[in-house]
Amino acid sequence: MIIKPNPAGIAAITRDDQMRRFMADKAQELENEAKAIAPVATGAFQDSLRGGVELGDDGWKAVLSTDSPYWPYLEFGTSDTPIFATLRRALAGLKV
Amino acid sequence: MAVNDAKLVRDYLAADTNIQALVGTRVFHEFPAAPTFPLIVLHKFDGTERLWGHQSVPRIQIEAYADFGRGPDAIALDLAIRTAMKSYTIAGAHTAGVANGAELVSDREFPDPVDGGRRHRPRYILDYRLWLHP
Repeated sequence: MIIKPNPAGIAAITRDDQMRRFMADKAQELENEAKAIAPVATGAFQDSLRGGVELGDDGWKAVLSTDSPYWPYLEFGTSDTPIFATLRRALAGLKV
Repeated sequence: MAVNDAKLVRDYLAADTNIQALVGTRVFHEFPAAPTFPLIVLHKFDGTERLWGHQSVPRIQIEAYADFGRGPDAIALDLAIRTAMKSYTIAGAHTAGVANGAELVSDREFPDPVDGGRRHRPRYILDYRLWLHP
């Protein structure tokens, strides 16, 4: 038996509304996880975390974003501040 | 018994001759109070276990620092770390455990802000996922 992928069929699936809803659920899980593990001082960074969906060339995808201007310092740390890796740990904890 | 993954990577990098040529023994788990550059700092920031706890899959962040105005030193250190951390190079038995492999998740230039961000020290950040067992 030979199995040949159907690029048109795969493209249709990844752009289907059912896929959008699936990715939206995953985006919400990402947002919930990120907010749960985010460091909290004023709460501004935690509040800035947003899960959403985007339609790209490969179809619908879940996106976790923040508009906090200091997110890189929290994510990667500096020589005198610790690493929190909120975004990376939230993504690693996502179950698909 | 769990693997001390951060120690395994730290000892491995400190023993690498190419890295020794650049930093000597300056491979740390936290940024030193009185640093001499270039230097490496590494942290474990996440991890899971597989195979009923036998296999450890940590995420390790390795940072290559150079002194102000010494960007090429940071680049050279970044490249030396990437060479040492190639999966087929690190794989094998170590004092702290056995490495099955390593994956470079990302390598980014992210200068270290100093003096409230008025100056930036050259730095590269490498994010690795490893597979280790006792």
